[in-house]
Amino acid sequence: MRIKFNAKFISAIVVGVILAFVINKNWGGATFLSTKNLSTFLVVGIALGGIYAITAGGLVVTYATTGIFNFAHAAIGCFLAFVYWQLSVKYHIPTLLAMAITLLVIAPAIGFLLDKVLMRRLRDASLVVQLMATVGLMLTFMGITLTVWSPKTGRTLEHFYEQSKGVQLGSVVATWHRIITVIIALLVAVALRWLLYRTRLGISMRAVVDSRSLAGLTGAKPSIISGSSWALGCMTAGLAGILIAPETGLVVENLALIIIVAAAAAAIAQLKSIPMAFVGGLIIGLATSFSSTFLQFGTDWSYAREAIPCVILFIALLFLPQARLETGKVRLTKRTERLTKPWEAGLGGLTMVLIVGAWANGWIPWFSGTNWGERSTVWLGRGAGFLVFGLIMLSLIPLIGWAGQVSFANYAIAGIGAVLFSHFGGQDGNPIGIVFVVLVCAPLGLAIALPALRLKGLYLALATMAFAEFTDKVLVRHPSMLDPSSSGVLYKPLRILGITISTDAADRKAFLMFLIVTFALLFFMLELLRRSRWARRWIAISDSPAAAATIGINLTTSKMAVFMLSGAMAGFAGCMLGLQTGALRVDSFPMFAGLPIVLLLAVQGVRYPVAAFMGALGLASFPAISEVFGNPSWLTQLALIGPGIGAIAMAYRPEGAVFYSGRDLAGLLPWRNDAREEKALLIAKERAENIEKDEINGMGLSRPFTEDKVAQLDRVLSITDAVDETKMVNTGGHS
Amino acid sequence: MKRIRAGVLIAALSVSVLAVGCGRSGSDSSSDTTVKSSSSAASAKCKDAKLEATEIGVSADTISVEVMADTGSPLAPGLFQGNVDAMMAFAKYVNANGGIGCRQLKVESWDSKLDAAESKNGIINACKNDLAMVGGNSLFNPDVTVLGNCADKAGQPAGLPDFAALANDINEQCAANSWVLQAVAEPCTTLTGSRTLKAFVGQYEFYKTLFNGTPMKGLYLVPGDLPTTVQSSTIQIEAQRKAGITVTDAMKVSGRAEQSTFTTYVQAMKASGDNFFYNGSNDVAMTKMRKEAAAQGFNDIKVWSCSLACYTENFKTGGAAVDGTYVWTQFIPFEEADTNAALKAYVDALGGKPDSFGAQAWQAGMAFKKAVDDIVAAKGPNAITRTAIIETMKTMSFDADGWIGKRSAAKVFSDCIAIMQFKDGKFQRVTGKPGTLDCNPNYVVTVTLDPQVEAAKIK
Repeated sequence: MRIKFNAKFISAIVVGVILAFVINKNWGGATFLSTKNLSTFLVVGIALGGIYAITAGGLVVTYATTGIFNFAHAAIGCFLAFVYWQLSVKYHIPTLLAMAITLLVIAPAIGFLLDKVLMRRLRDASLVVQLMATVGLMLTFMGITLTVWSPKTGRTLEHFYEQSKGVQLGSVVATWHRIITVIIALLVAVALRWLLYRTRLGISMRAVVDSRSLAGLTGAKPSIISGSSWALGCMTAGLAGILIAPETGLVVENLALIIIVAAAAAAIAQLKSIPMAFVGGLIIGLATSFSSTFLQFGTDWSYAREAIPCVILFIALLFLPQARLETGKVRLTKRTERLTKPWEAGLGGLTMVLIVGAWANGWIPWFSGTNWGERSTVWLGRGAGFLVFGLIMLSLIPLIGWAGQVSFANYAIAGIGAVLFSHFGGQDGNPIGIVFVVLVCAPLGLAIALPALRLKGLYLALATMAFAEFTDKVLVRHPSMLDPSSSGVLYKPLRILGITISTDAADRKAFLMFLIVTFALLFFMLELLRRSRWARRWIAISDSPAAAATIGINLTTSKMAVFMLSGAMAGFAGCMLGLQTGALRVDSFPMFAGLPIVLLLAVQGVRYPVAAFMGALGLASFPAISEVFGNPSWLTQLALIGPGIGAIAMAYRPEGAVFYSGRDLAGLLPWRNDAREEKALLIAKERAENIEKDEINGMGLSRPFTEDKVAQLDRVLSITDAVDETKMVNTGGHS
Repeated sequence: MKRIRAGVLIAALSVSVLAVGCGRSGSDSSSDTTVKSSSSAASAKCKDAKLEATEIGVSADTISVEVMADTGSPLAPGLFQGNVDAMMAFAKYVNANGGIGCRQLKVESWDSKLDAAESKNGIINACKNDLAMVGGNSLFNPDVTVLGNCADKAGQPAGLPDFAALANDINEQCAANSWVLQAVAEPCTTLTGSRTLKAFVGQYEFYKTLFNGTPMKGLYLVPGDLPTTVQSSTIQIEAQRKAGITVTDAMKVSGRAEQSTFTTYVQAMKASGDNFFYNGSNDVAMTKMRKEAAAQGFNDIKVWSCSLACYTENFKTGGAAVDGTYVWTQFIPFEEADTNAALKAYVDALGGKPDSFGAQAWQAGMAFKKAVDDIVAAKGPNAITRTAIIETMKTMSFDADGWIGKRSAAKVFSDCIAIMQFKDGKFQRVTGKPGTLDCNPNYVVTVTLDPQVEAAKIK
């Protein structure tokens, strides 16, 4: 037999050797072949696997039928589990009826509503907008659940057949609830596979993802089909929530954050095979159980067990097939962007400095009232914090906005930067340390992306998410990075050319001004970079990798460059983060803390450097409103649903608030014809898309073709690029 | 930006309340009569006094304090709202009963949002506007520099008094100007390496009586999401050993762990032949543990024990599954409100819905009032300054009118306890008489260890 030594084979050997080394190094001493240990390992592993599998199966089916990776999947399941609790425990509705109401009435209703209000508008949006909209949705569902069902009140959902003894397997009892969960996970996997590949509805669902227009031509009703897909997704989420809640407890974060593990299982399934999602869930469950039964990690890696799902996710991504360059999907989405002129960028940066400077000195009347005046020191500190997050957002502009490489890792890189700076320079206020951190974080940014460079955007996003989780659970918790027993202030004020930039509580203005000046300089640098050949290459890669490759752009080199740039900027932001907070804890950089940064940037417009400044202002808005209105209770509710509002805003305005408001404002200037033309073009495009939604369904089947309709169809299918402004004739042919 | 700390939060909380404490006491829990006498003496000084604005946060009419707590995190809204509610209710109660320092008490709330930067901002705000911080509970509070160097009305770095209900961060616990209601295990001379720490063993002494000489051995469940909580647990584990209990295993549990995970712990207990279990984690973990042991048919545990973390309404929803669980507190339990005036005032003020965090905030409020009363009684109502309060609180004798054990320093370790058992849907006292605490100096022991090194040994 001839063995082919391809890259995958070598990768498999490398991964195998590393795993063997880790297992050998951390073996806890338990005998593997003992019945007790084996039965514990298998029963616990399969039970956990069933939990993960059922969530992963729903995640995959949602992706397969909608084309959107739904971060909110587990949060929706969590909400539905609480609804089920309300019906079955609070209202004493019989279990099966409560389950039927939850899964067959409420879940589909949520699905159809989501499709109608949000998801169908995300269909053609960029990946970052799609992902961030679902992140916003996740935070909103969590917020609603926490608001309706206060976490201060205890709630429990009993296991099914809790009072019955389960099945004895070796020395362990497999409870009926767990057996039922595993069986249901398996049945759901088989049933969904059958639904998607053997039924007209399922095939239509997949067809609508591939091409909504062509699916419509074959008699499918895309709007109903996509609504059905979301309804199905919500039903699977609800089923998973109800089955999992007795195991995790009715605790919002426990239920909603299981999405991380489910994402790993879904990645094993390459986001398309539901049976493989089941297998993926089992693999993670067994790996977790194996580690808790047989391994004992030492001081240095004491939290490695927590990182198992993200390590598996990373390994799964290594073995995914090379993404093919997409062809035939290139569409002119907007006219060539007008580039900001250097003087405009300089003026913009100066304006930022002046705005922040005026605010910091209390020269803006509205911001110098009693509350602001009394708390100015507090607000100067907060302002510095917002600007640090603005710097992290700025680091994402070239990466996500221009090159289209969605990354959730920059907050983690900033965390690593902050930790490194505490070792090198931060404790003496030495700026050379910042240079060192930047030089380390640049290749780090690249290293994160390296295994995923060959993959499509979503997988890259998942890889960066895995890295962020790994950083939180393993890297910064290593005692050499951040000693868990270290405490207090880790940084001294920065000293540059003999000038000390104070971060003391009594004098925070100097650091704030330093931050805004550096922010403005980086902003200016990015605007200049946007005019360069590098930025054009990155944008070309984002618009069409195939076309970019065809004209000779080296995709790999270009991507590597942008990851390094972004990593370096995030590292710098990390140094500033350390100086701003003064003290760090090992749990200061959770993966989920990075998501709102990307979300806020996406809402503002991920392609535009000024969006980072607006994002920083956005961060300031809630505490500012709270300050002005005296911390009203309605603000807490608004904060909980705020991410959802952001998600909806993105769905309706995918280019971001900065783009639309900037265009409208520029259109008021007499010499900015380009802005007015841009707006007219987008309105025309939107009208064409609306025609597609309203009138294409059933054409040729329930409604006759007319000359007008054929012309419309040509436009919808991009047979001609010209946008016909002719008003559509309503044929009244809707069935 | 709020720092989201999903999953680790509950575990952190459980350890934070693990060693909740009160003051040093004698062999009984009789009320400190000096409290009431200083209060009445203070009232006498108010007559005909011309009140002045003596300090930041002290006007002729009001004394302003800040209660800082984590209440507004999106992932845990209202987490320590009990602290804020209790302090607001305390202000109403005090103002309706003669005020404080001849003035009305004004409480300002600050949401630290589970965020170290907002905690620091909260201290800065209190420094600018309030006389002191009272009744606070912020999980992440590593930078307490301002507590030490806060300027007073004269511009001198007098420091800011901090009457904390719970100080979870070691830096706040050991800050020079903090008076911590919670037990402080640390010597505060050094925060790293091998050191001698205090630990409470009163509960173990009681459990031993239930075994009638049979050797106790059991698993200790450690809240494992944060290195700091794991390290804190090592002190209690060592104390358990010192009390003569064999710790067969110490295992970490995540706040997000599924019940299936607990099978491993039950298997470990089975293998070791355990007859005792101690939960250092939260009420949810205890409920899962009890349920899993029942599911696995493991009935050998004679004592299921939990810290104050299980003294919650949430734990009660576990019902029969958690029946028999022992819980210990270091204050007179809420169920005995009729036996203690201070406790009753708190329970009534909260509309009959008390919680442990709120109780500690109320007690911290009482401590602050006592400090002010002492100053007024000794020097008059215009002597209230931060410096005076800091000096007073360091040696003040306090027992919350008998609600907690007596203490006479800013950082002490209580030797008092009340043990309850959850039975028939409610907590029922199993030691001592209602309205009393069992206090014994032998309940406090010292252990010498390096928590970081010991933490590495936990599975």
